[in-house]
Amino acid sequence: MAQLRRDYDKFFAQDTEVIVVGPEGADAFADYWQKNDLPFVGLPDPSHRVLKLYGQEVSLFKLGRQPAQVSIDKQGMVRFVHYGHDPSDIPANEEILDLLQKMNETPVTVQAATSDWARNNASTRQIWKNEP
Amino acid sequence: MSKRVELNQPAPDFTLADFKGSEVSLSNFRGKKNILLVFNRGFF
Repeated sequence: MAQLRRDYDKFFAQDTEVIVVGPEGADAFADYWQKNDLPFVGLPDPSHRVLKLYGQEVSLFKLGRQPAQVSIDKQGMVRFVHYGHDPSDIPANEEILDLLQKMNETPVTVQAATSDWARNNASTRQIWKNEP
Repeated sequence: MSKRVELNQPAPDFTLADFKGSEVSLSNFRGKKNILLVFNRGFF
């Protein structure tokens, strides 16, 4: 979350809103947002409705939920999906910012690709790719 | 394994109240903003 906070201005510059969904209740969200001065939209989902809708993995063997990130373009289409395999498995901001810039430049659906990164890791990642 | 979202498909819409009580729908942002949806493992 700290790394997203650090680059929030860059996400904003790419016309992107950051929405954080978590299983905690509203009080926990409010507390955490205040302590960390977070500008994101924070959505408590204690009934796990949206967490399930988006298929966030729950691993009993790795102590809980694994991180996931989904980028959605202005047409409402999914353009990037990353399901982490452990709690530290989150994509770098630079990679997402680069993708957002390409999404803004090319607002059409093109071929999907599985990245080398995903092939070499246990996590699942799909990145929309602008094929020439 | 739970259902996962697919690339190049419409993102499933949802509405949740934010922690201040205002309703937020994914579809509110359509045509206006890209979204980075972040599912963390928890704050604690």
